[in-house]
Formats: sequence, structure tokens, C-alpha cells
Amino acid sequence: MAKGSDDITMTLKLEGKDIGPIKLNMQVSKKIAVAGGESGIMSATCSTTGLDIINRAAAGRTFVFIHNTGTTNAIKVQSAPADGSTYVHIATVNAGEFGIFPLTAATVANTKCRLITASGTTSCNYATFEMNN
Amino acid sequence: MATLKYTIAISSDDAFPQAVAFSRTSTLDIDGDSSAIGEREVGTTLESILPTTDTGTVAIESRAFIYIKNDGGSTDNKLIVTVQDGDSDGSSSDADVMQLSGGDQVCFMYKHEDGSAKDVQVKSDTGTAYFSYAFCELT
Repeated sequence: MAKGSDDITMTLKLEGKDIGPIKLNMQVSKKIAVAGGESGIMSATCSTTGLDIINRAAAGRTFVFIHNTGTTNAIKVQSAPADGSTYVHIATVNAGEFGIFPLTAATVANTKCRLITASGTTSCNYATFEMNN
Repeated sequence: MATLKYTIAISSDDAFPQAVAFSRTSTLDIDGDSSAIGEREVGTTLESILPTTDTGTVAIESRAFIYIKNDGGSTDNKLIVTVQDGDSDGSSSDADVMQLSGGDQVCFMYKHEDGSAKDVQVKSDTGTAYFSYAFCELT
């Protein structure tokens, strides 16, 4: 479902120090159409039972930002793009770290993403944007 | 100690009932064993992002910061990213977990099981795609 011409502007900046033979200093900015219809910014607690941050009965792309705001436990980011139920582990976000993911579920009518810890709990902030392409 | 400082800023005037803007910055400690930055082209066959040893295992001991950007324009081919993670939680299949349209980018922390051949791979959805990438092995 498209509801208009909404978009977000995302800027990523990388600054490396003493990494290999070159000095890494780059910045990339992109305006992304997110007129798919659903978006949200949330604060939550993530545990070993998993926190569903996307569970939508539609295929498509969803742009996700995840920030582990805790101090101890890591967050495992998993999605189920193949069949809507078999989760694939994508990333491990330690305390204080964050990442961005243009997740896709191209062939199944059920887009899912969950955050889960290996042990204990951790707090997190996340944002999801349903994209229209 | 080598470090990588990364910042993500997201803003929108119309995706929510009110304008939103936020920015986050974090600094990662870099192991220094393996890091790279570059540009590549890829066809419809999966190609690895990370370096491998002579025996075919990935030369990453634990985690790596991964950055990938589809260098094409809005009408160019999409870039498919698959992740074969060494973590025991979840499937290690090479499912197409992320899709980058022209100009889209992704950055995340890949966790690798030491000694395995599992990897982060990319391919074009059709024809050829062009992409920039960087990775840094983390401590």
C-alpha cells in the first residue's frame, strides 16, 4: 500500500584512524522513498525470547535502524526472508553499537525481523520504514 | 589502537505525523588484521565480500564492520546481499536478506565463526551491478 511521497534522508559517515594504508574519511547521503505505508520509531527491551520489530503480512523492503542502548548484552538481528518462519542471523550488535539494514522479503507474503539476545536483556531503540520499491 | 568512528543521521519531514531527525555516533576498536575499502562490479553469481585463506575459510576471527553501497542510480540493477552467519542461532542459509536499490547503503556488524567458510556475499538481481564496500575486522 502506498500512501504518498514520503521519504527519509539518511547520511552515513565513516572516519577511520590507523586502519591500513589509507585514511578513511567518507560521507554518503541518500533520500529514500518510504511511501510504503508503515513506519515507526520505538524504544523497547530485547530478551532471549525475541522482540518482533517487523511482522507484516506483505512482501517488500523495509529499511531498519537498530541501536543497542544497553551496556552489556549484544543484540542478534534476524530476519526470515525465505519462508517467513526460518530466521537467518544477519548481525550481532554489541552494547552501544547500531546498524542500518534494508531488509527484503521478496517472495513470501510475510516480512519478519526480530531482535534477540543470547542471554539477559538489553534496551534498544529502533526505527522501521516500509519502502515502496 | 585503530578505530572506526561511524555516524548515522536520519531525518524526515513527512514519514511521521511530525518531522523527525536523529543522529547516532559510535567508535569501534579495529583489530587491524583485515580491512579493506574498494569498488567492484558483480553479476548474478554470488561473490564474497570478505577475504579468505588458502584453505577457503574466511580470514575474520570474530566480528567485522561491513559497509556496502549500491553505486548505481535509481533505474539501475539492484544489489542483493546474503549473509551466512556463523552464529548457531538461526539458519545459516544464503537467503537474500537485504536488497539495495541504486544509492542505498547498509552498515552492520557481521559475526563470524572462526575457521568457517561462511561469508557475506553480494550479487546483482539481473545483469551487472556496481558497488562500493568497506570492512574492518573488530576486536
